[in-house]
Amino acid sequence: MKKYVIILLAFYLNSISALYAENNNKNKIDFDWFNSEEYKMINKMHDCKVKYIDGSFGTCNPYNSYRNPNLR
Amino acid sequence: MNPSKLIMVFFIFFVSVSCTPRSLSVAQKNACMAPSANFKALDAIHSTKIHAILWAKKFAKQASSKELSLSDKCRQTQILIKALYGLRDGESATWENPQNNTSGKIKILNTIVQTGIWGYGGCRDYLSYIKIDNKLESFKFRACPKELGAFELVDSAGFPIPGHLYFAGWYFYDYRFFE
Repeated sequence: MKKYVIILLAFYLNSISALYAENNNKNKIDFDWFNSEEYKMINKMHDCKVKYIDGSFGTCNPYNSYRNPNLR
Repeated sequence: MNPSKLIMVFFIFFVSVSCTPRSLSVAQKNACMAPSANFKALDAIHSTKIHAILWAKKFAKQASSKELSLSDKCRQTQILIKALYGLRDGESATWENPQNNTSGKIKILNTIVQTGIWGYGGCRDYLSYIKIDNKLESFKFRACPKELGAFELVDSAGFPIPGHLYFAGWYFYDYRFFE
């Protein structure tokens, strides 16, 4: 019974937090995030793929080279 | 299985798939997904993969606790990306927002250099600090390039632990599992 009460409470509190999030200005970004280098980097790294010498594919994360010295 | 248990199972399933915190989905939409800035929500979701009941408590906790605004989550994400891709071991990056009385810091601890298929080569361990109204929270994560090959790492007790997040070319793991 106790665990069902906890689950119901979790559901209720989560619904409440969603309502609060809708009703305040918390969800506005107050600086130029979308033109920052870091935002561009996130998008680039999310989709970027490179082909290695051995024909396999991987992401562009430069730290992959710490596993495979052939990529350095 | 009797009808009441069946209803409860469906209810739990419904809650688990619909309870993704709203603030997390907003952060995701804006690519402000620094694990420390979204930790309570990510940790609650993570718990659904490894705990039978504890996740419900974590959902309740994350829903009732104070968190960073979206702008501050983006600031924390900004210094995280700057640190992971641009800073050397031992270096750190910070941000501060006096308007909200919040601040954050990322410090890169070490980078694992290990060649070969096995091991954590390319992973970077870092500390993350978030301060809200003079209350400081610290987190420790291991960020690993996607090519590590497996989203799950084996913890110190030998259990496979899934990462908290894949974001910007990195898998993020809560370091507490590996100490």
